[in-house]
Amino acid sequence: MKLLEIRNLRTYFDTLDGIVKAVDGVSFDVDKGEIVAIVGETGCGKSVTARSIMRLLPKSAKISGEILLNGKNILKMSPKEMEKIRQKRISMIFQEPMTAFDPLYTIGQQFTEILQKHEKMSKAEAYEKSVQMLELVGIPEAKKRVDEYPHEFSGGMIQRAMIARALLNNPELVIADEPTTGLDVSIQAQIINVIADMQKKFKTSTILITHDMGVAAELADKIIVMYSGKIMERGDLGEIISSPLHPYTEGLIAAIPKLNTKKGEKLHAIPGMVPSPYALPKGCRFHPRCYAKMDKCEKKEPPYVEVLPGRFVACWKVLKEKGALLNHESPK
Amino acid sequence: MSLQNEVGTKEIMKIENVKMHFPVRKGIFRQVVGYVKAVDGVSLTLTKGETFGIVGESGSGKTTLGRVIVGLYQPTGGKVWYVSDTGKYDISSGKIPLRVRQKIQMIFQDPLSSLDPRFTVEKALREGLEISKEYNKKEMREYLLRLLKEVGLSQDYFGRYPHELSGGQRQRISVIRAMSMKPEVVVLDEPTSALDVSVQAQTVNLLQDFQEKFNLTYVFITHDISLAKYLSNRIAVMYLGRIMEMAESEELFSNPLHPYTRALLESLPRFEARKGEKGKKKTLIGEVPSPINIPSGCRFRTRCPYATEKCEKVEPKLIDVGNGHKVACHLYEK
Repeated sequence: MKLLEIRNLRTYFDTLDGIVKAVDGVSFDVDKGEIVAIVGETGCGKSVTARSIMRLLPKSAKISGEILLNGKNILKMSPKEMEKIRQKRISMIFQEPMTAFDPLYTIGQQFTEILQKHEKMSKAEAYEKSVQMLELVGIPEAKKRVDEYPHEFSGGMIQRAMIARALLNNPELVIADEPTTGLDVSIQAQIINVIADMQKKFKTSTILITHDMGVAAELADKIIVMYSGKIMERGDLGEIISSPLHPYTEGLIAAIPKLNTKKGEKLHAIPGMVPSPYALPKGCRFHPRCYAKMDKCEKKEPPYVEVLPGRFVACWKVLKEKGALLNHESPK
Repeated sequence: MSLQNEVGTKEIMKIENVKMHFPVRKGIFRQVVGYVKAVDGVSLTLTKGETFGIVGESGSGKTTLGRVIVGLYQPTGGKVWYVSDTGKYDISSGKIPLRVRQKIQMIFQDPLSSLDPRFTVEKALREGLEISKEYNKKEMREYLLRLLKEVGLSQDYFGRYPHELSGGQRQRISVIRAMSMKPEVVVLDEPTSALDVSVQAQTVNLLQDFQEKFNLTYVFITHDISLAKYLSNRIAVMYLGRIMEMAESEELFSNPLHPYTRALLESLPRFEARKGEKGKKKTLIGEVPSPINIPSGCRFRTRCPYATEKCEKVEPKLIDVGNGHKVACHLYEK
């Protein structure tokens, strides 16, 4: 069952220096109850994709395409309807939870406000539920801590509280933007466990935005690799890890030192750097850094095609290799 | 591989029971009410040509230790010795001649804040060399150009300001700046953690090239355990200002002894096909205690699954359990 379908999403920013195509024609689905990870380096458009879904973007942003939540295009909704969606159906976990809470109110006050407003609960009920939610995400002495202020929580605890807050209204979709970045490994492991448990318990769909392939591998069912505003490859997590098709995905995976990488063995580096959003290369935007570049790559942008069932790739090399198969399988 | 053989033979730095306690002051008279014990008794020896990894979570004191090693902080206890061909110098005294001090360099985590925003690349690179008075103007330019080329940047970069460079390029400039002093020891404090993975690999490879070419000794400070393993010959695991375990890198990973090391290794997100259910990571309970109120006895006991009464009372010593594998835990005392 598809919960979210994104069709040809484009988010452009009009700036003084020109148009920035932060998201440039992105299509993917999120099924009910699954975790889809969007990975990529700085400037690939992963966070803007998330914020486009929430429609939390500055006025200079121009969004086009379709974002269908249960078949309804949320880009066509009025601000009022959108507010309802954000309150009840999609919620977000931010990278810096300290700044996402109001420092002047206790965690309990902030939780009960949300519950009273949107779930029409009485104050006592809402308070009760707040304590329950904090317990659920593993905050010790939740009864006591519910009356504390955000600054009294440690980094790991406030991130747990953030997750609890995102789940207060039983949303259908949670967007987690770098939920473990900046946390120590031992705390990161705790948060990974909490996210996995919550997904099991509430059957929420999750879009996990991360630059850390390791975190994606721990949590995701499917993975989307973005580069300079476009999806390079998308598919089942296990398949992408074991046999990446796109040269960029290959390079990213090879660049991570694994525990079994030998000392002295050179790390695979992708040459060059991410292009400036003001001057994207012609053709495939990865071609200046690609080891398998062909003439065609410099001229024409590769289409984003399903090369294997459930596996989408935008690369001329892959298309050429799998081309025979595609022609063979395409119905007459 | 003659270089590899030299590793571990010649002592270049000796750190003896180093302590770095920062006073905590309160009130209008700024009275000292306690101490942050950032580094609390660390001893280790660096040998020429090796990479010594220091891993730990935030608050473990790894960065402070790095700064003590280069002489940016004068430790409140203990000594740091630098052993060169010309003699033995006490870095911790703060009274070291310039030509000796410049043999120990540091590369910082965030190149945007370690490079002066008003200096062009050329000016930033010349600054240190001008003080050392080793080159005249023309020679200096040629020398820097050669280094620039070595890290894959063209002459055009001389006139640029830090904000005009990408993160990876800035870090390469910091690398040249450190290397231009012809150091013997370089402390790398999270040199790649602000960089994207593909750029991280470039920087790491570059650092390895320099090490091979000049037989440098690296102290590699990081929270990224996989990267530490990949780069280091030996690794020390720090927790709240002390070394919990120290061993050859391969040995540490194949045979981790300290409960803390084991837990850290278990918590690592692994980039591999997942086996079994997600979200079943074994992990440590709780968080790192405050370095102002360090637990009595073993400082890890509050999070340790094996803690006993003894751990509460007696602080375990770092003991050798064979082959230079050292661990500070009562479980391994005989």
